[in-house]
Amino acid sequence: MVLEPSNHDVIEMKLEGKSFTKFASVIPKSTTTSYTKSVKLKTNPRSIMKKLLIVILYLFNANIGYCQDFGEVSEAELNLNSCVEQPDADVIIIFDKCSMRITHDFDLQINYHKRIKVLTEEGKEYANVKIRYWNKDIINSIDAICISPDGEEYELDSDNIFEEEGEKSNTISFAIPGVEVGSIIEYEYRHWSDYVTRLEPWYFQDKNYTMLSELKVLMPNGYQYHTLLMNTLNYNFVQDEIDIPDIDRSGKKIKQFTWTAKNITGIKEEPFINNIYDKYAKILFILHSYKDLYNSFIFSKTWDEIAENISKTYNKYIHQDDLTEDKAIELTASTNSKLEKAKIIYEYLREEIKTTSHKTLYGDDFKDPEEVLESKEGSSSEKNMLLINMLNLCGLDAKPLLISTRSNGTVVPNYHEPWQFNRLICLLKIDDQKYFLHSGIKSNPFGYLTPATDVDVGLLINDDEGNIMNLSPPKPPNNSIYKTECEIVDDNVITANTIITYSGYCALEERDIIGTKNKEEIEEYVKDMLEKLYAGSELDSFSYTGIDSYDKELLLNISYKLIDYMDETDDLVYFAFPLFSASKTNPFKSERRYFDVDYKYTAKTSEEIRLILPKNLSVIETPVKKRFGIKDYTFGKYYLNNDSSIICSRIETIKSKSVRPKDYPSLKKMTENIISSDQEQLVLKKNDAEIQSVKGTGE
Amino acid sequence: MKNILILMLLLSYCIFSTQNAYNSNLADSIFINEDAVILNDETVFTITDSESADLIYSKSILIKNRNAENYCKVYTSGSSFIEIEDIEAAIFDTLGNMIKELDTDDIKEEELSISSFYSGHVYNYFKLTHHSYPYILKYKIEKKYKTLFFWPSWYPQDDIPTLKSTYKIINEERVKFDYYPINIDVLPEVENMGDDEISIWEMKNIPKFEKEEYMPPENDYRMKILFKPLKFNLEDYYGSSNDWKNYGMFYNLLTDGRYELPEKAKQEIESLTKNVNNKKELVEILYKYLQNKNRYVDIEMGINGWQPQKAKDVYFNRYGDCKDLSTYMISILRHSGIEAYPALALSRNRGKLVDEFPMSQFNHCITMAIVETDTIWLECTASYTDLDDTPYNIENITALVVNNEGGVLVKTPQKSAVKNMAKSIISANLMSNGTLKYSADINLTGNQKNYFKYILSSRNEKEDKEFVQGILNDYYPNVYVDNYTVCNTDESKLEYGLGINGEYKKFIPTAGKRIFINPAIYNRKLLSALPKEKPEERKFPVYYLYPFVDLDSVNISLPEGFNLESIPKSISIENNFAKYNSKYLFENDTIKYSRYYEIKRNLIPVENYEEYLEFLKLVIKTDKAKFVLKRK
Repeated sequence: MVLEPSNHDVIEMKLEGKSFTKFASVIPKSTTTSYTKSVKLKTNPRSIMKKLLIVILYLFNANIGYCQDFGEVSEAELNLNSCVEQPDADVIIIFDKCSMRITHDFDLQINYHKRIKVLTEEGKEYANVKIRYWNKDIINSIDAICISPDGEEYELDSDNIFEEEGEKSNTISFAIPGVEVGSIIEYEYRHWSDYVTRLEPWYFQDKNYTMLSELKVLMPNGYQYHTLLMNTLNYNFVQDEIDIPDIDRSGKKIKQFTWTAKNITGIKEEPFINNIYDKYAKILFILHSYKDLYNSFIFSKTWDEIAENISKTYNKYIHQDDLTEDKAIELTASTNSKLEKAKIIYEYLREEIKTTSHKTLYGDDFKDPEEVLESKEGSSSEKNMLLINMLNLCGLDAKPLLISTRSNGTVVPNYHEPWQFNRLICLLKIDDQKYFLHSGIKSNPFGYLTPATDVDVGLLINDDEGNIMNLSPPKPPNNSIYKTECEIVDDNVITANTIITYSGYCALEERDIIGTKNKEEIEEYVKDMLEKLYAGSELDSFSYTGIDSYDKELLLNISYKLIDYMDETDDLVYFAFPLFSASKTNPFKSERRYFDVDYKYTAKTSEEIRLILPKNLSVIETPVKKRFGIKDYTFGKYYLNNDSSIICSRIETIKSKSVRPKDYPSLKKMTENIISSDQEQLVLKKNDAEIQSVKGTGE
Repeated sequence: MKNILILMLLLSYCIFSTQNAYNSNLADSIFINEDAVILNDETVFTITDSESADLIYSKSILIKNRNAENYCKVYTSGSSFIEIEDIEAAIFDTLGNMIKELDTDDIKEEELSISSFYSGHVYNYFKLTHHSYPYILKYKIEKKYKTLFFWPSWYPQDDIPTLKSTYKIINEERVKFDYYPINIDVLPEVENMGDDEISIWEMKNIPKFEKEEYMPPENDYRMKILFKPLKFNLEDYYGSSNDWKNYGMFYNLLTDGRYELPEKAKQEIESLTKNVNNKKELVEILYKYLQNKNRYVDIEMGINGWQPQKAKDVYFNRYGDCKDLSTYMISILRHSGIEAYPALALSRNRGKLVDEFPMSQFNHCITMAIVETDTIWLECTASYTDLDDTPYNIENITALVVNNEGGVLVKTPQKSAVKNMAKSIISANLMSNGTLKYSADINLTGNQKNYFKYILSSRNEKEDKEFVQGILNDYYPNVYVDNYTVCNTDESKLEYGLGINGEYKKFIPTAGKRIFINPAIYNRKLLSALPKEKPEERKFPVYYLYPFVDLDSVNISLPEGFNLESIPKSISIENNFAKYNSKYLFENDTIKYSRYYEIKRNLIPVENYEEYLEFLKLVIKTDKAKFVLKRK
């Protein structure tokens, strides 16, 4: 089954570099591009042929045709001094161009060229450039220039280019000289890679305003790619293809594909975004095949082929049968029930195998199941692989399922790239019933996913079959229920007892927090919780119930005092109800939002507080009940009082994980209403006092 | 049971390792409740000659449970002066049996610039843990020092208890050195072994260091010993740390020939200052010129971390770090006939210079200009500060001014509270729908001005508006800003003003008989501002960044239909470190409120801590007071 991601517009295209026999009639025209300061940081280890190719490409660059030559800026660009379209832009990206070319030596050459107008002091940071790249690749031909508002040019000196080597990636750093507010900075560099199949996605969008974003792909005869355009429908977007002379083969032509987007408003980080790169306008490439007179390659770019490749390693792990088999048999000896066996093994892994930080999904750094069992530690994916192994050794049908966590971004089903995934979980089938198992989080009950892994789709690896499938784990009721009994005692003190009942993801997250803390730290955590309620609170005692019963509710019972909480006049006592769930700030600052508000999960928070009044106080004013909502998000607040007590109930329900941009203004307004409602005061009268209106001063 | 085993282990370790009487009460109270304990921490610094040394640092940590695993992540750094030669680590059970050893493949190496744009530093790191507790992590790091300039200090105290910590110097070449203990009264045991002189400092049963809220930065490391060679070198530059004068001469060597400006720069400066005769005005013009033209970029690899770029390179690049920009500033000042010197500084957020111990204690460089008999201190990395508004980080510090004769310690001035003032005037109308329409004028001086200028001069329009909104929404979150203006409100540029217009939505509820209005809209002290320590527990003074005054005035006109039911009581309090008063008035259907809050000294001694708490509590209580109004 092929699925489309729900939140994006996706356009699929097929590209083909066709053969041309017609002799080139136009010789590439040389340009005045200034490459004089180009620096080559490393000696290119490849063939002399390639070195020649670089020289030829100098000339060829003209043909791949930047209409803006390096360092030649227009008067209009120099005079730009604000961005009306996006007032929060620190810079305007005048253009951001990329030209990808696959050579006949099967190398990938990518030229980057960017011109930026600096609008603010913070925008000067864009002149501090860091280029991070895989350490097997090569970056060279770096050139950078700054043109000040008065037209003066400052070129980057090659001595001021620095390189740092990392474990897997290297970083090149340079600071472009001469920059001030109003300057134009410009840089270009060339990136060489042996991995032609890895054409990186191109993002037309950035956090700042982009006037022109352009991508060119030059493909020799014989290559076939698929492309996917995402989030581009709202922009001025043009696609083009022309035939140009092939510099490698005199007289031949190759295909040049160009995608151009203009005037794209930037997207900046805001609260409640799973992954900002999901929101950007972008193009994704999928290499399909290569064919010439002598060769024909079909690259592994179907899910089946990807699964087949991955299975070569995974099957070894799944069928390891020494230590892991002994352990699986030992653990499940007491039962014949398949489900019971699965639960016992799952529980063993969750409890006894420590979860370490995540490294990879496969490769040399991936610990095999026996190693995980022996060392009693592994990443969540390694633990889940051990789980699959042990379940299979017990005769159960368990398979690896690759997913992308919420923060890693949404999987694009038609984009056949395994690097979209960042975690491995287990799909267990027992009598047509599917169970999604993730043993990486200690407090995660059997059969449930976690807030981070509760995603829509995954790639099921089943030997030589790879299927993108919908994930349908049971959805837990994610409730936080607060129930408080409190009483006003002497000297402006409220004594209170609150029982908080967490269920579903709310319980999982709470267990996750306290599970990493010692006794002292848990006490500090509870104190912090009280301090958020009211900074003058004093914790008397607390206890958790059900910390280790992961499939049950978690209860926190707190006894505490609120000292000097109430405001007082000669006649009145007044205060807002001390509610744990009260909203104090509005996270939604922007006037408009162009993309969904992403919540971690649906949830219901309900709170009830019963305040027992002393005889000398009686209620004279309660806030008015409230009930409002937008689609899939509701709020209500109610009050009930008698002579001796008053009850306040507050219920907030989020029924959908996302709120659409069109509902954003209503959401923002609703949050304002909630905050206002949570500040409303309960007014009590001192029974021995006569209430009088007073006029005068506070002197 | 597990705790008893751990206690026994600690007991045996104490007896075994120290051969001293075991203090069981101490172990009970200090060690047993901890997640981890440092069993042994040893530094061996072997001076092989006057320009190089070998360091062996080894540590054993008892890891008692999963909460302590962050102590199993070990990082160490190297540079072109300090080479990491070897790292070894292993895990042992509590009986001393090795469980596992660190594989060299598990030691990661990265060149990373963490706190600078480019540093050339190399970081090695590893994590070694075990699934069963308790266990002991032992590791050893060996480094080669190519200079004694970076002689490592001794910090025997950590945030977990330490059973034993030693620092050993093996002086093979009898290099002359000195040391300076801070809160450590241990003397070294010195012995001669052949040609070597060996000095050993040792401490046992050291309690963990517990930080306090609002404590001064100089107390971040309570116990330490600083070391220095009396003569040292950095590459081919040789220096002496006998006294500050000589240390200053070393900086002179590093900067020799670096103040020369290119002709074009000279012409630019001359044209900028040709009709200016007043020297202070000249300094101001040149300072603005530096700020407008340059930006802060710190490229600090190798000797560049200590030696400034040439002024001509800064002129061309228009960027540099503190010492680069200071060198350039000094060059342009001197070219214009102003006497100016570099001043090496330890910024206030990193503590206080130990005046008695001349050595490299600096992390910053500023400029001192002399105009007639006045000194002017210039922070060259800030693009927003005005001439007389030195940022707090270089106020009231001891800086080493380097003149032709060498180094001289000079204390920088600190602005008084009234010179760091924020004065707000809010005039507002409460509408019958509960909205409060306001106009606010905020005038700032000194460091309060610097903070606002820093934010508002660096970012974009939308972020500026969000910042302006942010300063008004602490206590009433539903605030909107319609428009705002920013300007230097007086000619001397000492005052900086912000004019804001907007509204608070749902400022009061529209239903109900009564409304409650807290007029402390802009400034208010909350209970969260109270330090947690009780008076008898406090060890350190309370530290503010600088002394200051907040002066607020609020007028709210009410719509018809309200009677005053209650008005807060006015309060006034003053002591030798702070002053506060608040006044409340209701006349002509208008709420009138004023508040004065002053912190006179930025360091409140621990002896005044109890009084300080009482003062704050009264302020907090008063700041939450409300006018109560009843609908007619």
